[in-house]
Amino acid sequence: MSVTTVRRPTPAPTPEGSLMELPSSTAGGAALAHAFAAGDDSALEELYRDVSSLVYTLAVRALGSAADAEDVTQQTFVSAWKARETFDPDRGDLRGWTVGIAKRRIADALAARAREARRAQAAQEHVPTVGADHVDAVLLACEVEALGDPRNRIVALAYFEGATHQQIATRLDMPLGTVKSHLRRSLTELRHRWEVSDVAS
Amino acid sequence: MSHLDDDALAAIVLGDGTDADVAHATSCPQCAEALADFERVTGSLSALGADAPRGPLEAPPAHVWDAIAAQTGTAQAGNAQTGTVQPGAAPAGATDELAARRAQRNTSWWALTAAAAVGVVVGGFGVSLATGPTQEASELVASAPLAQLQTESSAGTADVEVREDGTRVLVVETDYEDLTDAYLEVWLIDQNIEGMVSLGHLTGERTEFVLPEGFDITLYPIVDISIEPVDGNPAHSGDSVTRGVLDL
Repeated sequence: MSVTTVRRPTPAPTPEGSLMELPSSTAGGAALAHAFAAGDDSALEELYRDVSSLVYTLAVRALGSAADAEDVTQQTFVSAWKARETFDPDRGDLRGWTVGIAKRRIADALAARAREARRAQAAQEHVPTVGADHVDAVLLACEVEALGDPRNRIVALAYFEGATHQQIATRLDMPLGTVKSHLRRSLTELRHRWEVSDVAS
Repeated sequence: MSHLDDDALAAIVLGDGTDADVAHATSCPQCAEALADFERVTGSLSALGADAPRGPLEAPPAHVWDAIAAQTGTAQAGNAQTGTVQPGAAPAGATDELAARRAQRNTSWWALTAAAAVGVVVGGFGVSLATGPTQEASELVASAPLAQLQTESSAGTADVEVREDGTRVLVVETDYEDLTDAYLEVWLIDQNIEGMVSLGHLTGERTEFVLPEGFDITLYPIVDISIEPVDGNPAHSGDSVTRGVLDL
């Protein structure tokens, strides 16, 4: 088994107190991505453990139906597994790639609904459709949740409730510098995650 | 000036950027573009505003994974559910092979010596780790090809690795099936089949067991996997299915 003797580079030392820790999806990413691309089915399980809640919640919120969300979740992971040979673990982010597939499956489900609605009301001009922008917005909200505590709360206070950094610090009883540091990390993470799922789709 | 890193860019969108960084971001096209990406994120967050869907992420129901496992041919349905133990969740067919092997088990060479051996179980360590690829660099120090005892066909490998921090681990990669009324236990046994230690139970196709410091593995070179009924009896059941010898 070749995986047992692989040497990986030692990560650079972490500056103390700088909240540099990577999210688990990134830290375990390289080994998981390679195992996945190589067809190791335990990697599919690990990926599912890692991302299925995000995919499912995104689908529930975008489609408004648990049954459709279950279908999308199932299709996403089955598609990912079938297409694993097209995934380059040295270049892509497995999590982002998977979220990109989920977005496509959601878009497919929305398109199917729109067709259905057009058939049902052929005479009507107005067909309510939910655009890709909406799915992206819902994904962003899900990614905020995926930041975990306390970053999800801090970002929600700052952007969803419009609180100032000082108000957040007071509210969470946290030094202002820590709030700002969490926000910088959160924005960096959100930008990265959003980008990779976009590239993937 | 070198390009701005993510932290500096994030500081600028938060209104905390230094004058020098802000000046750089306005003059450097590459950094301006990266800054625009950050601004798209904050713009989209603000646009969500009070209407943003909130609340914790929801896990899909268990049957979604079962369907995925069935469609992809992944054997271990149920294992991927976070935080839920699902005895008997293996898809139909997965346990058949082991069950059949148990049923047809006759007196193996193990069973002949088991009576002598059960009295000298050294003790169990029970420190199996979560499965998953090892993150640290590790050095392979010994390996054992595993074979099914019934068929003598190849059944994976057991490797002893030394991690960078000096910890020794036994990495067992083998066929794995969920059993409804039993589990698969990993043992190290001595050459005379007299003494043995339990390392814990398999949790998947790859399971890592940390070996206690000072444990002399050369005395216990036989890697043995047994089917253990869930009966509270810590001794070896005598029902070995897979075995290999480490090349120490």
